[in-house]
Amino acid sequence: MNFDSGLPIYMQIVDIIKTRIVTGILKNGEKLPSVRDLATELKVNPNTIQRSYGELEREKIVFTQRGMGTFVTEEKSILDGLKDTMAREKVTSFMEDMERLGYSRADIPGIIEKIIVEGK
Amino acid sequence: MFKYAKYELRGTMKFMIGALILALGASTGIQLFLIRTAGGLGGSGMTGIVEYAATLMLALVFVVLGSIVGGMVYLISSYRRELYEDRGYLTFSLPLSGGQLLGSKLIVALFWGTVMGISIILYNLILAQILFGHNLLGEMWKITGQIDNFGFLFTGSIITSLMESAVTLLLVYFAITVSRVSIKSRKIGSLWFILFIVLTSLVTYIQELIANHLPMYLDLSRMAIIGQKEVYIMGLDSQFGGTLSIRGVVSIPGLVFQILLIAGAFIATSYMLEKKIDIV
Amino acid sequence: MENIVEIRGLTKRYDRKEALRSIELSIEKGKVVGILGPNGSGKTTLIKLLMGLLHPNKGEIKIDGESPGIHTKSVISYLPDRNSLYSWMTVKDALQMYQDFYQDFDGKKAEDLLQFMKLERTMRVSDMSKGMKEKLNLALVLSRRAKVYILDEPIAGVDPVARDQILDAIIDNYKEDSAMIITTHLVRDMENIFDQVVFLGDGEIILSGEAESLREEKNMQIDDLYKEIFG
Repeated sequence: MNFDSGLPIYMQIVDIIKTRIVTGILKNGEKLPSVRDLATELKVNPNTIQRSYGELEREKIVFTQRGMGTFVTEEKSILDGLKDTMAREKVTSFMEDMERLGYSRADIPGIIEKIIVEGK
Repeated sequence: MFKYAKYELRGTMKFMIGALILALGASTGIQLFLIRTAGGLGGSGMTGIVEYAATLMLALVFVVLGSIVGGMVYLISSYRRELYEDRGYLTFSLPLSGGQLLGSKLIVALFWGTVMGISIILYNLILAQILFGHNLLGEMWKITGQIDNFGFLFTGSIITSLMESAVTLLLVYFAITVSRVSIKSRKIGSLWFILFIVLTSLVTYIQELIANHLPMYLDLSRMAIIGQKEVYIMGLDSQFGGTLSIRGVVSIPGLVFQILLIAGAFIATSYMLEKKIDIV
Repeated sequence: MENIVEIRGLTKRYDRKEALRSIELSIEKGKVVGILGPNGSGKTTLIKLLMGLLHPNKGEIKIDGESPGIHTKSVISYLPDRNSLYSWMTVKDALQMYQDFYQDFDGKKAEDLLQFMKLERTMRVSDMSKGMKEKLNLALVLSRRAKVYILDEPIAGVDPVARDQILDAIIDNYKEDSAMIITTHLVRDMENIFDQVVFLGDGEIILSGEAESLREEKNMQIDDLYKEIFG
């Protein structure tokens, strides 16, 4: 796997796991792959995976049970928060792109509505 | 200590067995040739046997020397290759001291020398006995029985010849190692041979000098220490070093010098292998 | 954390030419360190000094507390940048040799790795392709429970399939209590496995640090940084 952006790899892995949680590949309360397995899967240093898990734990998205492994949190508020944050990030970056194309923020809802209608 | 010897032995096996088979094959050929030319030998008694034996010995010495020289060149190259070829990356990353590596190389070279020497001689004697019907082995056994203290003489000659070989090999290893340490290029590194010749001449000279100035000899047949006078009486050249004479007399200071030489060359070469050799 | 490798003021000259100049480097247990640089930058010279195959002109090296010698050779598992197994050997002989010389050799592990690399015990070294030799050497090296692993250009000159296998084997064999030192000029393929990277150019350390910190600080991947430095 190649990590192309300028971000540190552990941050990019944090994003990969968050996406897996939000899209339901990893369910509430489900055990995350072991550090070693994910390291092999993504072909990165196990220390990097450890750091990603640490970061996710700090954000309270996952929790570690001694000797059992790392699990996705079951607290709905945190997961909703995560979904919300990711949606906001996507929308913000989308809006920045639109602004670069010369649209004002006020134009954006109209364009979206138009596309939705056309799509149906 | 000699864990590495096993791998040195395995690595040199194919070539050395090949050289041995070649030597045995050649001696078989020589004997078969001799049985034709000496066809009339059968009833001519002792003189015939002596004549035959002389020719046989000459031819055998030639074959023995040829195959041993070939084997020796190979064994020496096996040492040289460690210092110049990729295999050195493995050999020198093993947890071995310079002494263990050198010791293994030396032991295996001496082992092959002994195996080749003994097999060639025994094979020829047995073959001759079969082909010519004379009880050569029995005759020889009878002769040895008439020699005083044959056991001492025999053991002594084996030990001294092993020591001689060890000195030669160690001087070769020393010369190769010195040229590797001082000159990087493999081609110019061939100068080791000149260094070896110089060292050997020097050693022989010193040995004779010592034997000459310190006339103290060990007579193996009597297990007695004898001086210059007795050596003259026995009709021997007074100036020989550590080597055993045919009459079983060996110079004690020469022997001591040889032991010191073996120790010195071994320690110096081991030191260079461990601390000075750059595997490039 | 405890430093398993300490290098201080290390200088190596070949005749007049300086191959390495005043190298300072510490490596902690549990870290994977990438030594990066183009050919001729001094990577292999550094590795060979650590292995005791070369002797320094100046400076000192301490591995597991000792200068390169019999002890350090017994705790380092070394993959040279070329095949060094004797040509008469079969896979079985090579295994036996590791068994005989290294107390930390794990025969079971070796079996697994050989199977993973698809190598038969009866194969002869002299009949193997470059990729197979590389895989055999790596299988042997990773079969030891060593304190330090030194891999010199482990993926250079092998096909992409073998390259992936070798990378997987390296990641699978990561151990918390040992350090791994890997040289490479193929940064793109390997950068994700390094904790720490050292850029070596013309015998000197140009830049070194935590891989992730460097990515954050320079806002680019190590491969891009490598191209910026040496390109």
